Amino acid sequence: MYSNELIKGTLKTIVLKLLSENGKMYGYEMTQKVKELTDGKIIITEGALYPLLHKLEADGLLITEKVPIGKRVRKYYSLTDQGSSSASEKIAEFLDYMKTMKFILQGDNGLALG
Amino acid sequence: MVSLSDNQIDTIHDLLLGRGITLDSLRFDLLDHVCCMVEEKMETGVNFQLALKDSIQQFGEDGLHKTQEATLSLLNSKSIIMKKISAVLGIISSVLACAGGLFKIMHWPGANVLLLSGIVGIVFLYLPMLIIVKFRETESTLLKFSYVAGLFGAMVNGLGALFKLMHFPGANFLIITSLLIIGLIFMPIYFTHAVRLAENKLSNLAFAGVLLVALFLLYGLTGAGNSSTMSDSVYVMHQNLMDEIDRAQTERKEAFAGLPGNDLSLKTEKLLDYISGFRTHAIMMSQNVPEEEARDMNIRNMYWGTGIKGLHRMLDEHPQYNPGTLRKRLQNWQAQAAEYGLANQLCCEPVQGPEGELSWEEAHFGHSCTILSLVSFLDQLQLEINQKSLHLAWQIRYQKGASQTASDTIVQAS
Repeated sequence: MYSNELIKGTLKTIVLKLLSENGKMYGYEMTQKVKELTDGKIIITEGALYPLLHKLEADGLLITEKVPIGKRVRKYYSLTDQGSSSASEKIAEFLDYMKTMKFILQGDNGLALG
Repeated sequence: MVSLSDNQIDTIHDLLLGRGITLDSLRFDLLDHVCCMVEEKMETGVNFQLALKDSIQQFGEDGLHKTQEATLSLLNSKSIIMKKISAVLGIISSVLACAGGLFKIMHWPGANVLLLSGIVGIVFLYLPMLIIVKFRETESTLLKFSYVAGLFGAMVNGLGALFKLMHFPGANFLIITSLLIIGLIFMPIYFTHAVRLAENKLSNLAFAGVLLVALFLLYGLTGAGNSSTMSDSVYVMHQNLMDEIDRAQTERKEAFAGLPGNDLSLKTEKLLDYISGFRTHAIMMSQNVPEEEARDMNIRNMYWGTGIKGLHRMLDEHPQYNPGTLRKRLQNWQAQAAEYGLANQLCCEPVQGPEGELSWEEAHFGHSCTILSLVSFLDQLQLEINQKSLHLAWQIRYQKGASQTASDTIVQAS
């Protein structure tokens, strides 16, 4: 289980990646999917997920589709065109960032890191 | 695969509402989410009640509510600055409006300017900004409609107050329309749909009442209680009187121009100066305005309170202006005018009132008079003096055997 701080900073990238892989998903499905993919190492809390989903929707990166299931409504989220390009940007940026972090943290690179 | 019954879904829905999840789209998400959690737990054989309790506990004590707050603050990060600006504007405007109300009650100068800027600030700056912020926070079309209706009602109300203040016609219509819009459209929708928590309903109802009373008060303050149709006809009548005075004054001066050095001409001029000085000072004292403003003040711009406020102060500060002196000067002038043949005297006689005979002073300057009646009386007096002396002037010129044209005019005039 990683610290909240790390998850908070990467949640947006995770959500965008999930949706670009799986098309449309609903909130609960996302939390389960991430849990499954990471063997429970990353747990997305509802308290962080839904505010983000609503923000991304308001910014025009996501659209929702409401499907009634019995007496309740399930909201499926999917990427808009803008969301798709934002997803690839975010993912590329993050991969690059990880490379840089690795470079810094592995030490053996000429940087005076102890 | 366990599937929740409609009743169970309703239970969860009510629980979310009870925890204050008022944002519709978020509630849909959370309802589905909690349902999924509960269903998963029930798969393992747990009963509904326990599964629900367990799921809610997973959110933490305030978890549900915090989720909504986090959503709102993420969504509204742009409008936070706007919210602050509108709050500051709202505070400044309401302070101005309150100060205006106080000034109005105390008859201090500047009341209308304060009230006006307060009303304009609230109605045309604060409310529109508030509505924009609210619009971003709500999804329900019905509520959005109620906000538009509320804003429109408030604007019409502000406009009505403005009209009242400036004594434009149609103020009452605007104010009644606005109260109908706010009372019948905005409030019913807003207070039944925006507030879903039962415990807030009562306090919101009280708030609605206070709001309506405030609107009525605003109306009362700005209108100062004058009925508009009644006052409009009084303004028109008084304006006619003022026009007549102007006309008579010019004609009198022209007539006396043919009689250089006539002592009645001088005396008349002095008496009229005195009366207009009396009028100006009475207005100054009752309306608390400087002399220059009082001189040209029409009754349209006056506050009509009962009793001649400030008359006693006037007597103290300007003892030359009192009813006794006025009566003496009028009588002196009449004595002079009688020498030139003035037949019917100005009325300095006692007046028959509804409760018996009143002395001339009591009838025109007494406690039942208003500044309006005093000003009208003095104006009436000015008109009569002008007309009488105009008549006398022609009579004198005629007796003196003045030019043929002058006597022709008199023949024509009579």
